[in-house]
Amino acid sequence: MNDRSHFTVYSVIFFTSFTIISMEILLVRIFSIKEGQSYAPLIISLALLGYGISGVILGYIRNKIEKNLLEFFIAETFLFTLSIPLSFFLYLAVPLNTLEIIWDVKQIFLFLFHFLILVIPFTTGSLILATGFLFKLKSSNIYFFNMAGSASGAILPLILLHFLSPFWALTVIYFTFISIFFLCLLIWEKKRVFSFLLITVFLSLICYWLTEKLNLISYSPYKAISYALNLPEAKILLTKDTPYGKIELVTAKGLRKVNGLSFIFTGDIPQQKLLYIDGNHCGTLLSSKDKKELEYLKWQSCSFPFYFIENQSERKILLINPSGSESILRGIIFGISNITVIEENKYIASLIEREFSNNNSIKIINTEARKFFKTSIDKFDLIDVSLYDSYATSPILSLNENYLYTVESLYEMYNLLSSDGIISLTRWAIYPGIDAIKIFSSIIEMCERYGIPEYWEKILFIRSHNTVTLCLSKTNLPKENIISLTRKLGFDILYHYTLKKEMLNQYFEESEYLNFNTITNILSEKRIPYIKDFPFDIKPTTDNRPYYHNIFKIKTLKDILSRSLQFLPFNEWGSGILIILVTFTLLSGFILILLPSLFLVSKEKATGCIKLLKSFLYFFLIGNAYFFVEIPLIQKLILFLGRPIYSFSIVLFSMLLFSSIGSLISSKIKEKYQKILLSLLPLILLISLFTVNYLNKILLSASMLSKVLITLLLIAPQAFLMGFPFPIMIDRIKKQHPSFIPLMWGINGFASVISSILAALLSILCGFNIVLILSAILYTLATSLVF
Amino acid sequence: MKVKKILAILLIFKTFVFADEYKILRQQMVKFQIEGRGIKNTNVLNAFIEVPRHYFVPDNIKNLAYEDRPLPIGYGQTISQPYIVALMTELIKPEPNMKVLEIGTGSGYQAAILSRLVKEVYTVEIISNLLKTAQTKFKELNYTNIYTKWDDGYYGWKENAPYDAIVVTCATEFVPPPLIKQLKVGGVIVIPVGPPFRVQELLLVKKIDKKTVKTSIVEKVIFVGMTREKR
Repeated sequence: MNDRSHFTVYSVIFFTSFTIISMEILLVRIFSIKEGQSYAPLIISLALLGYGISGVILGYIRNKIEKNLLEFFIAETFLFTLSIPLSFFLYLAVPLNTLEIIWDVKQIFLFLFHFLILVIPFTTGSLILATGFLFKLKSSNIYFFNMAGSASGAILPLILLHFLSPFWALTVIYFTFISIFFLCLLIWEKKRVFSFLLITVFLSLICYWLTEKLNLISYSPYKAISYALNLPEAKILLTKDTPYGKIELVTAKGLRKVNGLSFIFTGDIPQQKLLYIDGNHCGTLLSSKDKKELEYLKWQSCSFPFYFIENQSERKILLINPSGSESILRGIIFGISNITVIEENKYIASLIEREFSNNNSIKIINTEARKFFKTSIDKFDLIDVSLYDSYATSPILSLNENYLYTVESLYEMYNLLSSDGIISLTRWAIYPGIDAIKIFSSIIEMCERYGIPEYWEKILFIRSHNTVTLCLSKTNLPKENIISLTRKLGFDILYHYTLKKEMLNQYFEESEYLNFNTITNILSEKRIPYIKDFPFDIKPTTDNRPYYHNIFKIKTLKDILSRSLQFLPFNEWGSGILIILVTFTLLSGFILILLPSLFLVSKEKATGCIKLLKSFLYFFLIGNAYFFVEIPLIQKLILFLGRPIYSFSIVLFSMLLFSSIGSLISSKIKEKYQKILLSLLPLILLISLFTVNYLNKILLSASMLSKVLITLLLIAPQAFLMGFPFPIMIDRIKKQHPSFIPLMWGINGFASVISSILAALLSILCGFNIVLILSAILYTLATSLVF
Repeated sequence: MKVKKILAILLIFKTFVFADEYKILRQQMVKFQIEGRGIKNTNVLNAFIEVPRHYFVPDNIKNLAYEDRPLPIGYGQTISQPYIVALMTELIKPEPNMKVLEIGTGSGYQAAILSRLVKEVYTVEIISNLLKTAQTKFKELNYTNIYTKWDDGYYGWKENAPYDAIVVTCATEFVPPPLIKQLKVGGVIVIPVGPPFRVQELLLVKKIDKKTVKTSIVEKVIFVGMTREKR
């Protein structure tokens, strides 16, 4: 091979890695539109499964292809270009209904079909990458182009998503790859295969055309927006593709959505414009400004604290992420003339701003709530957070972190209250009611941790048929008002320190979990053991474990899953899905990667066998360790960087970039220095862990540019060293046992499959810090195996 | 002529044989799916034996009529699982002198069951084609105490109010205030509340007096949403 050929191999490797990662990100977006957020880990695991399978395939055919490596490399690239549109088209064309999985066996087979069909392009793509290591080229260089391509692939789709839909972004990326491949073929002077390329392009164009023509990337009929669009005179008033999701504003005759409405209210409810993100309802815009039509806003559980400041126009209220205009209008009809709105989604913020452009008493700020808490000097008489995060905003981490309901955040909110101010938090009370219990346990933990005096006298917890509203005030709320108001509005009091047993469950039957007994136990001295023994996860959420929506516990998992079958559809199982995915990917990884690899190992001579097993373990450990750093860092830095999407792109980009530089430099460093540097890695990981915690505490209010630079500086040293282990060992194996290389690629892929999900699961169950400490242990073990 | 005669005999034979088969299936459905799950009201059980469920199911899926599952009936709507229909019926404690309002006629099966147990059934459906099909079935089965209306169920049926009970057979995100208004004091509403195609709570709403209603959760269910305005 000459230099020109080297360059083209590197180019193909770079753009294959680029396309694979881009495809992964865009598929997550497409899945989110078609199915729901909970399937994001599935995409990650099937991509990594593809890596593993490719290694096994190469292990079996390596002897046959060594003589014609370049020809085989070209054939693999053809397969890759062909498999992307074909499998993508088949996935979209074969309908799957995840809602019916529980009772329809056919849907399970369709789910398997989707899984397998989507593994194909990832497998063909990684075959190209794995074959790259068989060329007589430096492994560190190959690894550099692989990582650098992946880093670019992590950034470009997020930029494209500002202007294009996920489908068109994927099309652009695909045809970029085809163009690069065409140029490479020209350089390789393989003009005779142009006809194949033409056929591939032709077939791809048909697939893309059919996908667009048949409108295959459409919402599942079971999404909220599909239902709204079925209504008479339904119209989409606005559509905007954003990296946070597809935002749509829908109107239809009779389209109304009201939560926590009193059954005593007998008035009418005006027509609404509903906001959707990826087809899930997220907020409401009201055209009407007529006080009579808006009367219903006074009859929802979240309106309760507004009665305490009614018609006191000098009062200041703060609305956090209202995702629409209902809360603002509620403030107006209660006679409040100083309303500050924090809206994190800039597109929704601009929509709200447009609705109230003539009203000077309303200030709409597009910023992150936690950043506002840190920087605001204003004090508020009421801080209202109503049903925030009922939709998912993260495009990659389906089991969303929620940093607004953590103990630390609640305390920051408390500090913004005026001398008699109230925090009002409204959540769902739908069975089993864990959402409501969790917010209560978090607020109690906050009061305990920060020593709020006599807090039990300042808490009011009320419920409607499907919502609860929890109020924490700085001074005691007037008892008489509370009783007369609950009677007037038809709401039950779940907790108030003056509550008598005979006042319980006046309007709603006692719930199995969400009841007075649970609440008083959480308030009692035996709070910690009670929470520990509770069948669901009701632990207070903290910045280290901000999984507000997780209800599962390992020890009661079996029981909860069997109960969940009765009341939760598959796509609402939260972390339960992760557990199922871990099992599923473990099983498929075992069958498709580990078993065939072990079969190959069994063919090796005894001497090679021990070395092989040692190498196996090494690549397994580093495969796990890498994701045990990457996933918690993405999750942990969401708070610091403000948005999941920023955290995902910046962490992924910098990890891959600095790892690629590390791999490039690793081959130029002597073995003894490699050893020293690698033994420093666990220490650097632990230092970075403490630094991240520190960042969140003191630099949360810094500018975005400084935050990005700080993140790059934080990640650079660890990612640089994390680029060492893979190429160092591959180079060693290349010299002694080149036949092992595909298998090592495979086992590394297998480990990555498990760890990508396992890291997310462990973060939920044990917190980020534990996962990062585990990664340091895994790197220590791996280093001790080879040096 | 001979061929026609033979065909006619075969047709009668087929109807006879299948009618018998459906009856057996119906008895099994009542025994295992309904009674087996705790529905004890004898009148309700008898109504389920009497009303031919397969009659309310589209022809292409008639063979599935007695299975323990909801079935599609077109227009994005479904006929509920037999147990859910039985549960909702039992919850209103049907009596022969009662006047019941049903929101969401759909296939007409729930109204047919109710008509065997109460004096009058008023049923409102928004999808005109579904209503027409259901009207034909009621006529063919001679269920004369069912009154139908093509309208938006959100507003109930004001002209015949008040009702002893209201059965809502489609999911709604909240209890429509007009329905509470049209309910007699002491009456009940059985209604699945929650987003369409997600888990909803089957609520039993009891009107204690003009200003007080009390609710309890009966079951977790999945219903198709309430469609507003006529189509």
